Amino acid sequence: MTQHRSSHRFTRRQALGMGAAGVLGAGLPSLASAQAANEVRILFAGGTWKDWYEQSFTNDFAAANNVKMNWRTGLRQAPLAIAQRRRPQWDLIHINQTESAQIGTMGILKPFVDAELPNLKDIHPSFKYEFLAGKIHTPYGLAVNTKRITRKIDSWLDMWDPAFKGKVAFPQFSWVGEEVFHAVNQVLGGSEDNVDPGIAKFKELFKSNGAILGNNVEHAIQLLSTEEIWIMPLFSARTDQARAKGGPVEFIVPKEGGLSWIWNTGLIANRGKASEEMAAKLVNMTLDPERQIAFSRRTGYPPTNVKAMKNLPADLKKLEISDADLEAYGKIQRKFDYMTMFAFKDQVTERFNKEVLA
Amino acid sequence: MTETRRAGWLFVTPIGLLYLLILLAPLSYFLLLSIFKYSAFEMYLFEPTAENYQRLLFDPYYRGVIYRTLRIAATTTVFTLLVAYPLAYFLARYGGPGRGVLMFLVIAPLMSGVIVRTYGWIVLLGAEGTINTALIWLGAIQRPIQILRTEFAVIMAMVHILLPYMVFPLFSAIVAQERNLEQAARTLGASNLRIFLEVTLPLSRPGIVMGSVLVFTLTAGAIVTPQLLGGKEMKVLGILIYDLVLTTLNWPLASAVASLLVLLQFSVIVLYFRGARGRAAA
Repeated sequence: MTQHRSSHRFTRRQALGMGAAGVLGAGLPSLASAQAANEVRILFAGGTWKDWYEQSFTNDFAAANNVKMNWRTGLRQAPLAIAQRRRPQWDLIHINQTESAQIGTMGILKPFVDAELPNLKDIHPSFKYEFLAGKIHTPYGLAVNTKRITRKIDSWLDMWDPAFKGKVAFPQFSWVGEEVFHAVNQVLGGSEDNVDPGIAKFKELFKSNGAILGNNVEHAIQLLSTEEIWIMPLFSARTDQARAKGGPVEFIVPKEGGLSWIWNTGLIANRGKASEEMAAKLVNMTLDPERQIAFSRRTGYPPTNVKAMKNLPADLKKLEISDADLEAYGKIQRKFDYMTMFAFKDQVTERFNKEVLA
Repeated sequence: MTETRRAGWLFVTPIGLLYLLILLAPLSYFLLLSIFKYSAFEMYLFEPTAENYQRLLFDPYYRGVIYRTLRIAATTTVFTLLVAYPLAYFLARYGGPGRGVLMFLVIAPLMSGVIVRTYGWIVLLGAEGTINTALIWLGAIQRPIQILRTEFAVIMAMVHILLPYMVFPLFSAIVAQERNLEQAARTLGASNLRIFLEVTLPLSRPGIVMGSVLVFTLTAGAIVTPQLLGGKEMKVLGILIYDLVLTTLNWPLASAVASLLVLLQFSVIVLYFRGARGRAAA
């Protein structure tokens, strides 16, 4: 086999020129991405959620558009987007409606508009926000061990029942606990800038009723499937997964209202025309009815596109949600003032750590 | 400059530049950030303040987190040393054919991720876990005892996870010892215990220092194991930084905590090395 060796030799001037170009290229990614969008840079969650997302959307998208998907995975990606807000390095960020409203208002995200996202018009109004439209709807309520708890559970406040002492878990603030705390605080008459009722009540839950913290989905499923915990706030399909792993658990939507999370990737602003167009194309694909049905089949969560909701195949009919369900799921969350919540984040988290957990 | 000196600089320069880039630059960045004012919407304002350090050093809650971190790191270091020393001694002195296999077994835990190993401990220590089930089956206890979500569980898991970091420096120190020194002491009538205390152990000091520094610093900055095994009260400096950066978004305070953690770790390393050098000189 013949080996080819380049006869080209770089002069010092050429080397310096290439170095300068490299520095410029690294420093001005937006400019570079504007020339040709040959990759989509995406901040995303890891684990099964990424696997399902790839199988339902990005594998086909990358092949059809001849682009490379560049991932960075982790639970909380918003801080990175905030840190890079003056010079964004990523095209898309996996996010829910709370964080999308917060970082969107800071100018980090582009609004979702029909002109860029043709499928947006078919998304149910309950799942459309200024900076995000859900590719999926994840109902959130209480996961209850029906073998150990025989009485009727229909309220968030049932977690405080002394009969469940040491058998209650609550999600970490760094997971979804902050929003769930605010939801219960509102049920108790508090607001985003008055968390006294919530702090007092949660102090009871942790000090008197021996509640523990759930760190993430995997931890929650493990706690429920081993029956170490009998009741905790959780997503509907994750409750089903805990049941599949042997935990005798059922999903309950509390009478005060559940939480209605929607998840998708937000469009990061100031990335250059080509990159932004390519990113919007991918987001539009996540709003497509057929794709959403495929994603629902994998995740066990209902789609958000009205056409998908109407045309669910027989095996997914259980995911159908009525208007009454929708009203119940989003009852509390719709009242959230996301910006006040954001403004008081530091104080509320510190109070929760000091007064409830310590 | 001599040829040897020049070659020395040549070898040191790349690693020096690398350290400058990946260690000193971020370190300087968060040191600077730690004296800026927190703002919910701007992340930080360019207004110098001592507020972050005041909050950290004078608030009993944060002081408690610092004490807890130091306590766990120190206890883990002591227990890891106690477990690792006999193991390293055996590996260093045992010349049999199985030594390679034993060495592999010591390294084996490092081949799986820390999260996997920590979840393994959850399975073992949980109320419905292996240990409680075995104790109930043996009749030693009537109902499950609380092992998980205690400081004890965190320390036990940290000792297991960090054992190789202590074993190998100790192994290197013990295997390098001149066996003739022990024989000479024995010829002069010293007992086995006295030989160990006055010859073997002092000569193992470099390994003890290196292993202890590694275990202490890694424990002081640990996040996953204390969070998964320690429960709600187990706030240590690593978890605090993680929460402040990712959840609260108070980066100036997170930077102050990180600066303090680096300072504590650095102080411990300096004190340890200085103490070890002092004793060696004496």
